[in-house]
Amino acid sequence: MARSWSLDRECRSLHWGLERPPRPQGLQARCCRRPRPGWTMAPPRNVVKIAVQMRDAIPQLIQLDQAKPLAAVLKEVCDAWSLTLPERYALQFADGHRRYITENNRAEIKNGSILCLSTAPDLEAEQLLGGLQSGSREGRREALRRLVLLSSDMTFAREVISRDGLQRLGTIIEDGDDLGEVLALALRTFLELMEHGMVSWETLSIPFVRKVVCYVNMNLMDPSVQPLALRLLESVTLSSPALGQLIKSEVPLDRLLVHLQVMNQQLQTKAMALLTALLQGASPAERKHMLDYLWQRNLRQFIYKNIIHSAAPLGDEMAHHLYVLQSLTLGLLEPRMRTPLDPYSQEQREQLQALRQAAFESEGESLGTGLSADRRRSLCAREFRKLGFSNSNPGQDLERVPPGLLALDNMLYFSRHAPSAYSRVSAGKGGGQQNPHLGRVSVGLAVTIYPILCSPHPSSETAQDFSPMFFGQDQSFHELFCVGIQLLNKTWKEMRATQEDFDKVMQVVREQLARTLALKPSSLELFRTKVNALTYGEVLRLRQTERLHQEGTLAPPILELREKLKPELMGLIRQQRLLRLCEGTLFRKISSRRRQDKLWFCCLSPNHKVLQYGDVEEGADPPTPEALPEQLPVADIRALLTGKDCPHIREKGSGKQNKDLCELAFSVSYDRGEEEAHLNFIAPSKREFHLWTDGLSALLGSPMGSEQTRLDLEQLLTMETKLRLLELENVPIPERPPPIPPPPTNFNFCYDCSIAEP
Amino acid sequence: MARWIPTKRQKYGVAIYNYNASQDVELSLQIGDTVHILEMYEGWYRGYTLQNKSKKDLLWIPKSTDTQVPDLQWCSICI
Repeated sequence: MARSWSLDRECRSLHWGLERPPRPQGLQARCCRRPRPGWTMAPPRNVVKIAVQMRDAIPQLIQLDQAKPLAAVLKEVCDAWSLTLPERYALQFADGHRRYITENNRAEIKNGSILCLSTAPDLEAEQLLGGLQSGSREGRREALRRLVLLSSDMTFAREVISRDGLQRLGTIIEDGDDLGEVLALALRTFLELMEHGMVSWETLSIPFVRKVVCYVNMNLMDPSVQPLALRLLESVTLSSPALGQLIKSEVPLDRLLVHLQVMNQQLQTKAMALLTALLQGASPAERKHMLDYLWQRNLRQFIYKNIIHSAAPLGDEMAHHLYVLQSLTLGLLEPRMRTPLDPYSQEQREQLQALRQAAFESEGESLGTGLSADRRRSLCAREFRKLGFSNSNPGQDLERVPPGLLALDNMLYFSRHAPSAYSRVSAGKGGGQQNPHLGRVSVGLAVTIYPILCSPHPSSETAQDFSPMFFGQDQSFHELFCVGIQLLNKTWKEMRATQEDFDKVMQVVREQLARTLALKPSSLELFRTKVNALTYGEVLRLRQTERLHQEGTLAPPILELREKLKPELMGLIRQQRLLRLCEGTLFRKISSRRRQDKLWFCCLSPNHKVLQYGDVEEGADPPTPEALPEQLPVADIRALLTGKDCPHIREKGSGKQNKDLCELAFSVSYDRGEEEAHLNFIAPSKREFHLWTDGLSALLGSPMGSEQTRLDLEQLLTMETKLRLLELENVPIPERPPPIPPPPTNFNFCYDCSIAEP
Repeated sequence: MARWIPTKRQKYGVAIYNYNASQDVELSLQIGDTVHILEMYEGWYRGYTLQNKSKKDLLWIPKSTDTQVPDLQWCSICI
């Protein structure tokens, strides 16, 4: 097929618009029935059939033309009900939040929507704000109730705010005459209006904020006021640093703790919200101070017992706040991580000595006295090396940042709180190849554990990933380190690792810790048990299953691929079988006299048309095809029989030996002249049996059904699929096909590929 | 008249899903096929599969829907 035209030239002659591009010749034209954008006429008029209600009136069923301006629609509706002054009215959705319909959201009206006619938002706002000033308390309450309902709508909120609604509400809140329902309603309305984001929290006045703080600090009868007040303060703290400072100074932490301990979940959640907001807004030094204070007041125990393990389920918001609290607490360790060891610090040197002494206490004591300074120094050096620091000056290991001093803290904690485990772990350091170096281990572990616990950002709005076991004890990080170091020792032995494998072991330990943490164990003990159950073997097995899963024995596109490959591979197997048949096999003949089994040879001719066979002497070489006297044209073959159907088996009757023969026997029935004759085979082995039956089935045109075929096909499919998916090593395969975009509107290619390549 | 834009960052891709061509100018992709991308326009790429380099004229592949575009690191090794 000579392609003499240049495709690009064709394409360049296309132009945009409603014309369908001419099909380039040479390619087969095929009709494409997909609708193309821009090629149809103007869209049909968008008319929706809706119902409009009004109180004390018969509902109207109208056809709303979305192209018509809303004012005109309103006029029509009002006329139908004989209402004058249509600008006093507006349409709302009748269900849900009763949002006002504007030009912006009218597209949401669908066929069958129900709308209602009510006062226009500006008038409504005017009315309700006027109602706030009314003399009677009942009037104010009613106005506030309606305000709360409508404030979630953006249009209404805008009207209220433009009429100084926020100020008026602020006055009510600040005056605080009525500490009950009115205050709660006012606060709620205020919050709803603010949350539209039209007004910044920073515009709030200080006396107002102070008053709200008062509400938090006093003991109130109405349980609905304080959560709202706390919510307000939280928003203020998060948005305005200056006001946040004010709140921090005015709301004592104790007060928040009191709120936390009330068995009202909403109050608890809001108190926790404000607490975390205050912590986030504080400077690091202040934060440490606050957290230390809170911890001292047993906040952790309280959270663990009453919030995490309480009977009521943990709300999402509370989970988020606990997550923030956890991240902030762990964040306190960050400065330690960034500080390298100071070789000149007396305190740190003493700490290192303490580590050494804890490990080699008994030896040190007996040899400590009576030694010269030099000997003692060299003893220290040797002991440090034994402990697993890379050289006699342990400071060098710890100078790397991260983990900096955090590694030293961890080791000290370990040596002090679990002395027996510590000496067991450190005494195992014979300094040989077989045990990991303690120093290197602690450094590696500290660097590994920290990101697992603190990786996502605490400022992310909805993260809920806190670990319940974190709140189970003080010093969770160090405790985790202790578990980690013992785990590493165990895994080291399981992997039979040497010093070079250090990184590999670290990776496995990291995976063990991450997987166990992801299960969210509720206490440290549970964590310890689970992580110890996750042995190296387990990790390998899990990795394997995941890899298999990824390799997609299950992904739909891979199944499709396999189906596509099957015919080709079946052809391959068929070829192999026939080739094998052409090579021929030596068979045994079972004679009734059983004196000696005769041998005969059978093979297929190269053109696959004739089966040639003949008797063979014992011990002779396999004969050449030409030497075989007998021939059986394949065209004459009628059927292939196996097992019990074979005539030679049927004759034999049953018996143990015959049963074995039965499995290996197959027979070919063919036409000899007018009659049916059989050529009987006894295969020398099961495999030969399969090969021959497959080959003969293939010759006859029937499918090859043996077990061997199935296995071979599976093997080939797996290999082929693996080869094709090599490029997809670490790429996730989607479950469903990704959406196909509409085809491009032109073909003005950049590269002209019609130029023949050299 | 808009032309197809030669791709700067996305040069190589590997198909993560099977795609059956509905027109002649489209390229059928099987999962695991590697493609060399030349240019792009309106959500489609133009390129050829490395299995069948000759079929280079006028074919397109739906963009980052059927091909997972690997990052630059991978590209540089392959070139």
